[in-house]
Amino acid sequence: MNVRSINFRLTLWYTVLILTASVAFGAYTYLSFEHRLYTEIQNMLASRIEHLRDDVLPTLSSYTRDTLRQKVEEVYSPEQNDRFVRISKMDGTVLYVSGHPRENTFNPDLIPPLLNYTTTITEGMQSLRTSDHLLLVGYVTKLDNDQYILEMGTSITPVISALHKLIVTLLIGLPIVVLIAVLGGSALVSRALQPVEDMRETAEQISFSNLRQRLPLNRSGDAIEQLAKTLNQMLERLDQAYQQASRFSADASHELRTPLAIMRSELETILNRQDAPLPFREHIGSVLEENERLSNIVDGLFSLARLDAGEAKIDHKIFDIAQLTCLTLEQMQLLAEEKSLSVKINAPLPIFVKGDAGRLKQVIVNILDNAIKYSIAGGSLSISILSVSGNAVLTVEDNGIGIPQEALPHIFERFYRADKVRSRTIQGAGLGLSIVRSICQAHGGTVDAKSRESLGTVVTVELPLSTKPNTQI
Amino acid sequence: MRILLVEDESKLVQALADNLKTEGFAVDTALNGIDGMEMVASYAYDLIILDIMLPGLDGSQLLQKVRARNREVPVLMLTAKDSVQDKVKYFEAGADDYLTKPFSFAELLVRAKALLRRRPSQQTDVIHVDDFVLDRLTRKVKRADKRIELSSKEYALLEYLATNTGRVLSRTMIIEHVWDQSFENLTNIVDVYIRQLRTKIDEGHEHKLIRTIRGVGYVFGDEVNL
Repeated sequence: MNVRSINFRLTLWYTVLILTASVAFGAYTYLSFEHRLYTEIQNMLASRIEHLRDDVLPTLSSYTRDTLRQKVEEVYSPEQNDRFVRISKMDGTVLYVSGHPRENTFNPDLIPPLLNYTTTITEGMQSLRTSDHLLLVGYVTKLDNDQYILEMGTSITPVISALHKLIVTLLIGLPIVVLIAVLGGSALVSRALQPVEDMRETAEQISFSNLRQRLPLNRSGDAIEQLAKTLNQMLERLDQAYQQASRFSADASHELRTPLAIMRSELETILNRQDAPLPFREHIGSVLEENERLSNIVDGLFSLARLDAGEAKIDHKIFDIAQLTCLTLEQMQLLAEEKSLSVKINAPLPIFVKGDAGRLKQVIVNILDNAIKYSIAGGSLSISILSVSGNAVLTVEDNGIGIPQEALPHIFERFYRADKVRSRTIQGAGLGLSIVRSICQAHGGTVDAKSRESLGTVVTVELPLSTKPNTQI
Repeated sequence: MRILLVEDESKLVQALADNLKTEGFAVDTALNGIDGMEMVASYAYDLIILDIMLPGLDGSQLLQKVRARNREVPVLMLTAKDSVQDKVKYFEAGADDYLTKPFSFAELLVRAKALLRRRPSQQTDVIHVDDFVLDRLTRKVKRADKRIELSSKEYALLEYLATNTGRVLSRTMIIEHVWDQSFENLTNIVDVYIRQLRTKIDEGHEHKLIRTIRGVGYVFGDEVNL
């Protein structure tokens, strides 16, 4: 999974938000439920205490310890209801305390007095949770100069157990909610990004051969539509620039070629005249040669201009470059035989690349032609085309004259000639290898040369393998 | 033989017309597409040489009109642009051949002659020239009853030469037919293969079948004029 992808990050944020919200909601539910439960119990105890006060206190002096017990138990039966009742004086004398509860959730004898008897307490209701198991409410009242404390409590075990169950429910429910949120969020993000994905797919298809195509607009009026519009405007400008560039290249080509053609025709007309003296003919022949050289340079320049303008890869077909290499070599066989070169080719398997077979053939022809041209008679030429870690790797190795070290970094530059003297005898304008490089780069590949002077040269072309072999070969 | 030359560069028109006349052709010229169209309408030319960039009516529009009127007349396009798509486009529009400026007059002449004859001179499956026999079905070649072994490329070249017996073929024409676009700048490859064919076909024979035409290309058998 790509942790930096927008899908992942959006889903992550979404998950964090949902998780935080769920935890906050759970905590709020728990705390408010707890508070409400205790308040309810307190209110209930308070009303009971008031009842006890009205029932017992006015006639307290008429009770003995036993009759008081009888009276309280008659009305409240605290033991049966897991309740605690205590009536005491301010000085600590206990007049009545309830017995052990049925469920034995607390020991009434061990419950510390709710109120500090030594301090003066204003009359009224006081309440306190004295232990984990008991909620106690106390009431202080005055009667005939004596201060009495009424305490009533109830076991909170059921409350704790209910709250416990609530926590369990929340802990089980929360991950489920979060899981649904993550899955739903991820699906929503994917759905929301679908127009972007559509745009990407279309954009991938757009090359110089179909610059007129535009990205789909989803008419949603949102940022994504704006993005598509902006990109389309950019494509429009690109299209215009490209057309301008190729128009310029065509115009300039026309402007240069026409005078060259006229010059050539005029010179040839003179040559055709039977009365032209021989020295004239020789000079004119020499000018014609230069005319041809100039034409070759113009050809090369415009080939490069067009390659730069995106014509280096017009076709996007998947084809077997190993087969193409073998075929090209076969077509050039005699050039090597003429120099008595021993040629070895290692192309054991079909190797599929995607691109312009015509252009890549030009690459192979140029490299093989160079290797043969710069070989010494009787030398050897070894060609291999293999698939190496995701790349189609073509190597052409000769043991010819080699390239001087200082020239090596420049041989793919335009108009660069390793040997200015030799260049006169070999046709071309020093653009062959630049064309090779342009075509390789347009196919996402590289070309590289290693050489030792008078030992030989190795030229290596690497092109990405086609991801989908075996289709439309 | 009457040729119509439509080209807007008057100097080029003049030089080409003069050279074509020297070669024995009747030449009419037009400096723009509209004049060109009028001339096409007024006379049944044997060949039309047509520049693509023309004022008035451009070469490809003119080509369409020519084709609408006459499907047969051969058309040779001249152009200063040479992208592969352009070539394909003009062939699809009905051009018969295509020459990129600047070209040598010899090249133009060879191509013009080839177009004027239209069909290959040898259409039979078995081609006989003297004591030379080429069987296009079995791809077997004999000279004086002796079998000659050829590589597939050598055979392709020889077949192209032999089916055009008597006609001069330029190196570029040979490259275009026997190799392909990728070999455009490798015209010496033709010379190398011709040399090899000569040792196999002509060595030890009095009558040499493959001849060099200086500055142009090669011819198989004796050159036949129009």
